[in-house]
Amino acid sequence: MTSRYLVDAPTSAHVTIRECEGESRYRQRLMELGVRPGARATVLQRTAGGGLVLGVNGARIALDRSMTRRIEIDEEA
Amino acid sequence: MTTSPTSSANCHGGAQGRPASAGSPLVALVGAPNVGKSTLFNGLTGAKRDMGNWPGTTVEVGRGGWRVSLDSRVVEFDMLDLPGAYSLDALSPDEELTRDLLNDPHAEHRPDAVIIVADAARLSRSLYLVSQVQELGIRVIVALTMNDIAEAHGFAIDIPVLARAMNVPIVRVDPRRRTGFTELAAAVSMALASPAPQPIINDGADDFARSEERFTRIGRAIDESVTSTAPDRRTWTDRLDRIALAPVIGPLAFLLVMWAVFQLTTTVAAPIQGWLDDFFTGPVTASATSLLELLHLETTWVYGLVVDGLIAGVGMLLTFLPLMAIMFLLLALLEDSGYMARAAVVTDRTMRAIGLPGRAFLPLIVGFGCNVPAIAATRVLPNARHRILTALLVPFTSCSARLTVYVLVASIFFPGNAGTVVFVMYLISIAFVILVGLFLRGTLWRTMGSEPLILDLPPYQHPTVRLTATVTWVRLRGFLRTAGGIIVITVIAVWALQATPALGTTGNSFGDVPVQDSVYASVSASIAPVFTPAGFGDWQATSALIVGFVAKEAVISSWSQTYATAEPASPDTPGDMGALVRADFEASSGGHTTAAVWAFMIFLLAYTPCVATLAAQKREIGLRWTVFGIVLQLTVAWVVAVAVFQIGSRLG
Repeated sequence: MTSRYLVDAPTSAHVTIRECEGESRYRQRLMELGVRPGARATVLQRTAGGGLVLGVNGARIALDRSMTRRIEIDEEA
Repeated sequence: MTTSPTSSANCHGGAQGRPASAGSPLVALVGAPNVGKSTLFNGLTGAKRDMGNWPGTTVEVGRGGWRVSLDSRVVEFDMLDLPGAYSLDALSPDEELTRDLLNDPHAEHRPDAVIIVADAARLSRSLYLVSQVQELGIRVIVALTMNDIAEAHGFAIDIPVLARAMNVPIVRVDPRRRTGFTELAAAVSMALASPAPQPIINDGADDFARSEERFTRIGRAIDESVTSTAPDRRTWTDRLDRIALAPVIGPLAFLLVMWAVFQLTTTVAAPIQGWLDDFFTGPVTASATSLLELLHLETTWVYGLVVDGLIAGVGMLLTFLPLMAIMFLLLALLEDSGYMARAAVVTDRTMRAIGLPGRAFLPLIVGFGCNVPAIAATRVLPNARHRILTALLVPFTSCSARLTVYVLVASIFFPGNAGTVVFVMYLISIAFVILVGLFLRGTLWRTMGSEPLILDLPPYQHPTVRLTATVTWVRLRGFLRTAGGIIVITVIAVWALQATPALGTTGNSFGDVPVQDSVYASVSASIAPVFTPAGFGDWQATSALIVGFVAKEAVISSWSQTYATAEPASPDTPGDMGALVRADFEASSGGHTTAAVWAFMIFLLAYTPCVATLAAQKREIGLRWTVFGIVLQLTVAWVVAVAVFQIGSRLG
């Protein structure tokens, strides 16, 4: 297990969210959408503009690049 | 934004179900967008509501009675459909109403019980709202929807275990197939029989810590009750998104969709629009004329009021109808299918340059066809500031009505290069949107940080005919209500000014005045000096611009009236009128005709597009911002036109 940021995770990687940084209202929104410490997620694809789609608990969450730089993750082998 | 459920319930009578009898318990439906809340409300009360597959569509509060027989007696609930909210933290203004109503224990319309519509496929998020509302000391019942989707995703939920862990009654419902309603009524009835729970007083703990606490509790409840067989299995939504969101292909697919929207509105709506126009100027006018002749009123002012005022005004409004209907239909399809959320992702980066989220791209593109539906399309933006900024920028997109005027002017003054001139006008239009956007952001909204993109992508679904038709009709009706009055009143006002003889003219009576002797001409002449620094300060050009305030289509007919020649058969063949217009521009510009013509066209591009656009703006962003928009456009138009003439005339 290696700890790094979501932006570095390859497509199809299974990750565990460690921590979300930044303004609390965005962390709050992420939590509501299921992206919160301890949650397991899958990097489903990269999107136009440099962001990605995260699969969490059956939901599909689109994040832009700036957000993916603020989400710390553990990558599962 | 609706502030009181009662006032909203009264002024949207058509969207309401039958009211409940007085004294029925008040039960509110609360839930995140896209969980089937509005569909459930309609199923329970029989009301039709504006529904769609876009977060934040349900912005008005619906109210209706829910009658159901339980154990052979009829119980009745007074139902409120509150705006969609992920939580009570009110990040977006649309969630504020729900929060305020539930937070304040003394609120006038505080519900006796709350049904939280929860999405089984996104359980933890839905349960967050449940735990928040529970803390407020309100009776809570959970209606669990999307059970089939949860199953398809491989989730099995043990309802009794989950209900015990969360300490809340949970009922499975299917709003589309209308199952589980009786069980829901029984649960609500039972909850109402016991006293409301005690609120948990906020002990001053940090908000963020509190929400973490809630999520920990929810996490435990889910661990106990949910078994997942295939976490994050790839669905056909994922396969479609491989294309729709992909770098390079995604934006291309988006442009293709936009092009199709543009093509459909112009190729389908334009002929119907022309046909309706012919119908009103032809048969309708003719029969009105013969009717008035029968009544011997054809030479009086009544004729002008009926034919030039009422028929022209109502006719113009109706010519907009097919365009609006098609635009609303396509928007509803894009929303309901789930594509709109993808478009927002794909265009996010480009639009961020002027401080707008990606989904603001759509209204701006639509604006090049017609500003009126474009303003209406700003409602796809959940953030009120973004809606306002976009609605202020839309008028700078050059609509097809302005195109007809460019073609006419360009073929008069630049017969060899008309196509290039028109193309340049479109480039100038894009420049206006970007520069004004940057300007507004740098001044008015300096605090508006660029919001990061965190967007919940709803699964794609087949748009349902009923849903699409309902949404289209509700929006079309809204347009007719607000725009109708304004357009008809303005057209009649212009007619009245043209029909009234100016002071100091003799031999004219009301309704029988040559245009140049009317109040209209004298008003134009008094405004004209304003345009002298721009090189077109005569009453002829000014009056065309005043008429253009009503609608750009009217500029050409106004000119032809002013120059007392027949309206040119087509904008490409200006005929005699061309020579007269050329002469006037040469005179007013002191010989710098080219500079004056460019200044005129740029003014025409940038100032208020038409009253229908203003009506749409008033509906979407309110009167204050509409007035701000008028001032903004007139200022920008005048400053740039003057600059172009002053610089151009010195160079030329």
